[in-house]
Amino acid sequence: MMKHDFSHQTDAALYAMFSGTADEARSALEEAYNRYSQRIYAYCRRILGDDHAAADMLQETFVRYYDQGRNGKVLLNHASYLFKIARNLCYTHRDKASRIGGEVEDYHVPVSDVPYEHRELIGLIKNALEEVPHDLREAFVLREYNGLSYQEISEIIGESMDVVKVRIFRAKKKLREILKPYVSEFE
Amino acid sequence: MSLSHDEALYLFVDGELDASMEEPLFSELAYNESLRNELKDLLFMRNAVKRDDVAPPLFVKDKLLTAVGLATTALGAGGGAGTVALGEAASSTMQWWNGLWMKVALPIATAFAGAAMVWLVEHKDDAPQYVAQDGYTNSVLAPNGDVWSSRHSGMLPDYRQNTVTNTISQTEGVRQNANAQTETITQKHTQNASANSEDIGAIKSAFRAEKSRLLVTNAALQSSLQSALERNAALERNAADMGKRIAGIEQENNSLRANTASQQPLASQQNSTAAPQQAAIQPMRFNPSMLNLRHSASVLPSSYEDGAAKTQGFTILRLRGISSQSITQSHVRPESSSILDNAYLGVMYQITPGFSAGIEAGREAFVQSYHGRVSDRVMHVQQYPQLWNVGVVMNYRLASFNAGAPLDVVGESTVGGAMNGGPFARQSFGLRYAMSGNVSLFAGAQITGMGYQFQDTWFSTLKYGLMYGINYSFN
Repeated sequence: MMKHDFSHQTDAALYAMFSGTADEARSALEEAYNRYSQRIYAYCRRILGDDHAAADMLQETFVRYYDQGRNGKVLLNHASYLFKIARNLCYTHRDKASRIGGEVEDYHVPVSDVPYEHRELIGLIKNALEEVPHDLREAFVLREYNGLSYQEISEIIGESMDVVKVRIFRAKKKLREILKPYVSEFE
Repeated sequence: MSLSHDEALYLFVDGELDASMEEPLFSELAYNESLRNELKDLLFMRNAVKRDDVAPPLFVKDKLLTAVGLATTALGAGGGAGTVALGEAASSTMQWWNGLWMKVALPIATAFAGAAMVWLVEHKDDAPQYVAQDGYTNSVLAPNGDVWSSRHSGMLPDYRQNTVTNTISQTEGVRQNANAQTETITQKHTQNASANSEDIGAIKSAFRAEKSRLLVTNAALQSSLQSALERNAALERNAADMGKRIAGIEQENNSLRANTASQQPLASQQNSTAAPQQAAIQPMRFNPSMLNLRHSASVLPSSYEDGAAKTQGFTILRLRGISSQSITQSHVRPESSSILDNAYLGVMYQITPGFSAGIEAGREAFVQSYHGRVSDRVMHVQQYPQLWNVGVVMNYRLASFNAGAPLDVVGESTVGGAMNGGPFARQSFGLRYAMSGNVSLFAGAQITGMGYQFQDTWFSTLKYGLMYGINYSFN
């Protein structure tokens, strides 16, 4: 099997190669996965609060992205499209989970090579995020965890820029309020 | 648009503040300690978030490539350009090997074990049965080595009394003449009877020799039914020849009888006073049915009979439905009541009248749900797989529970695997009803054990329910 180096290719070029030979498609999909999987996974984890479900959503996101490429669907912003797929999958998963027995709880255990104080801080942020309303949390996650611009967030969630600004502002205010008693311990 | 100082600060931290508004913000920061503290808190949050940057699990990429049909078993399949970790390659290989074992090797091994068990159960009494009837008494072997049931009462030649009466004349000359003729006739009849007895002895010896030979070649003959049939035909031709020989002997007997009758008027004319002599002559009349190689239907398979319906060596096409309910709660329960969602299509081969084997493929739909605790957290998750199963099926008639025609009590064992799951095994018991023609119906109870993977963990479960279906035999 030939291994291609597609690291210099654009997202659109990789996407077009999904319809090529099996070797090309595989290398292109691996490159796209390497570029975006961490960000998509971070988004799914924080939206769902469940690492296993997040892994499933990550896999399904790229399966659908690949299928769209094979079917010849035209895309302009690939990162935005990937987040849209992930967002829809996460919402569906949450709805289904709530129908069959309430909130799906996280049983992720942080990896052992993360220092203890960092784990504690990560846990603190995670718990604080769960206190934030879902629409505010999503905007915050897309901005802080995924590094997306307000414009990109606006495209993904389908709201205006002003709405995005307000949501991020309120989310950060809320988080700051929750974390304020603990900040001095970690500074 | 006018912004408050903190709104401007948040936009600035996110890189979204218009450049024209930066100067007022910086001026405010210089004098406003509260605003500066807010900036510090925002930066603290950002740093904390960056530490929560967890890479996705390594197996996700492999599963993704498998899901889109681009998986490969080569080492390093999941690696990025030039950065494939050795651990990832080893993990990929282990997953591939585990999948191969669970999905292919284990079901095949289980299938062979099940088939061997059924074969042993079906054939444990075969050898003693044939040896026990292999007496050297009055039994005659069929050409295929099976034992005929042949009793003397039914098979020995049919004797017919034939009486010859001689009369001694009153005159010495006539008496001597009559005595001489009677003696001659008696000698001839005795010779004929002896010759017939020798023929019968020769036939018996031939049969015994054939029997011994067939005993030696019994196993080989069993495996070649066609060859045995040809031998059968040859023996029948021999029997016909023997019948012709016996008919010739009988013709000679009749001739002698006519001679005797011709002497009777002469004796009457002499007004005989001598007591009549009777010589019991018993010419053997060899019944061709003795050489009829038709065997007892209760001993040989009925398929051996010409014109009878075949009971083995043909193909059966069948459709079977499964309806089941979980025994082990909370893992698997039926998803659909649709017949086609839980149906199997199979092709069987009738090996013996009571045993058939084949393969079966079909689909079963479930809800796989899990509700329990993992790492002291309450979990409730579920998915809706539709498993495509392929299995080896062994069907056997339980003669001990014979219900009487047209009903049979049958058992059935199935072992196999799911293309997107794990191994499964199914045991069924039920009744089979032979309709007219080539169609039969069956129904009964079944219990199924299966393994499946969910959330990267293997589970096993038992479920029970009904099975029902229809067979079409190409015999």
